Amino acid sequence: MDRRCLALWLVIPACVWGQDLGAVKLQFHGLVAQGGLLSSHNNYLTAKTSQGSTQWTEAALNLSGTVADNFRAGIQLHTYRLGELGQLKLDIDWAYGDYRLREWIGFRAGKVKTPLGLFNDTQDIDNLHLWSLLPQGIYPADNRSWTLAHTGGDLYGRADLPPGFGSVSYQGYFGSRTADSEGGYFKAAADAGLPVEAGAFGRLYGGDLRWRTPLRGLTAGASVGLADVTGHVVVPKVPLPVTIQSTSDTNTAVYGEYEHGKFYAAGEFRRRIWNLAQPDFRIQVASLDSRAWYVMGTYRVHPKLNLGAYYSHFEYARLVAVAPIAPGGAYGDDWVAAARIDPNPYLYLKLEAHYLNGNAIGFYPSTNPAGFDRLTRLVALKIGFSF
Amino acid sequence: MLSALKSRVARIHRLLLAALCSSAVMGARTADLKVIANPSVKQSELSGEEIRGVFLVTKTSLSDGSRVEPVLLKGGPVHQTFVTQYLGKSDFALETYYRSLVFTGKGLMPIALPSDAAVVAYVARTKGAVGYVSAAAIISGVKILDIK
Repeated sequence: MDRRCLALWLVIPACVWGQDLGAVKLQFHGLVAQGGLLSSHNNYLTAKTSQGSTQWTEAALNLSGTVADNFRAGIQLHTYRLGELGQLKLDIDWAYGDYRLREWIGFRAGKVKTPLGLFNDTQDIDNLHLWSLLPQGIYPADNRSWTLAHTGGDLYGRADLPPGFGSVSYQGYFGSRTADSEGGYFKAAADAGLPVEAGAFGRLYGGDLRWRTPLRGLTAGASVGLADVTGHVVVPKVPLPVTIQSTSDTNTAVYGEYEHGKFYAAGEFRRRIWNLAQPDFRIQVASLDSRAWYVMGTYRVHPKLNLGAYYSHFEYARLVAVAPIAPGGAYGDDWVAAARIDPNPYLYLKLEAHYLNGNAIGFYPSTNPAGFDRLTRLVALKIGFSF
Repeated sequence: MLSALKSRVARIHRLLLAALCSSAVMGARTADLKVIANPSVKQSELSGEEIRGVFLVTKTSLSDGSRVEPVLLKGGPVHQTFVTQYLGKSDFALETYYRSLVFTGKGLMPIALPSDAAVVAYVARTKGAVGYVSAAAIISGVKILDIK
């Protein structure tokens, strides 16, 4: 190959990606993942897992670019199916413009992923995690859309602390969201004979503060998220839908993670206080105070093999609801072991085993008509491709 | 008097030996690779935190106002050394970090090029570009940054 051809091969990729700061640079990325679930007892997450289910598919495509030196914009489409949820409906996962005025202050506007704890904004991006299922007491796969993103505005930034104290980053947000009518809460309400009409809508606001400590690899942080929602329930023998409203849905999270070489560990505590009421007649529909936590660790034993384990616990410290709670439905423990193989930068395989005790998260009466067993053993297998 | 002189010489010898070893270690660390930048980058040296900020895309400009853009090598021992020593991450963890920025819309995937020559050429023609190459790489049209 002569020098002119070599120069051309160096120039062409640069032209595609954009050469100079200030020129538009576009990137296109995507992922697709297909999973399977098999459980010993019960059907989990609305899939017929006791017989083996492959109703577990996710895909995302995004296009983003740098429009000017400090301004970036993009959009990501996402679709999923998990048992009877999702139904491969195409959604806008995020779509926003991002203007970074200074390192310590930037603005985002549009549909933005919501920061809450360690993994809220990435819980639907399968290729980022070793786990097929994140700790369900904090990141429920059947209800992740409830806190996943908001349409509104964000303020964010980062600042170095005095030498020896690390740095902090913050993110504050205010916006709204329409509840996912294909999600778990709607299914649970339908199972209880009180289906909720599509279009339940409410505001989300809160923030996240993250401290990168002076000890390299150690990060600690806290988040708070507040939300309200108004929806309409179809009540038997009542001619018109009945309004239900939540004016206080508060999530607080405290977390930490440590990364050193091939080793990673993390832990998080989450508390949620949620009150639902019928405002016209001042009837309390549900009131709950849930607490959940997990500890996890992973170790990359080989450049292409990562192993990990976690334990998570969930419990209702208080639960008052119009629908009865099944035995074992007030708590959930999960012991998990997982492996992820990355044969190349684009393909990955995951294998994961769960030992669940309790039915508080992910178990639905309509897919378990004979009732629930307290214990469930579950195996998850996933294959994915991303670029 | 002679013994005092011998003692002083021995002490100076020990101090020189310690200094040489220290500089040898530092030299070995920085002699493995060179951090290079487009001449539009005004600073001639970067701190460890600034290097991390540039390559973890938490900094898009330096304290002197220079716009910066990271450029990586696509694999190899120089890349491994840089990622481990300067960013404190494994190669896979860094890739996952960049993917988290891409799939949440918080950033673009930094460009990664297959060779020292490709990195030098890209850095030379791209305003604000900062990259790293092997210590033996032939460089032209870029400046070398010292790492504090």
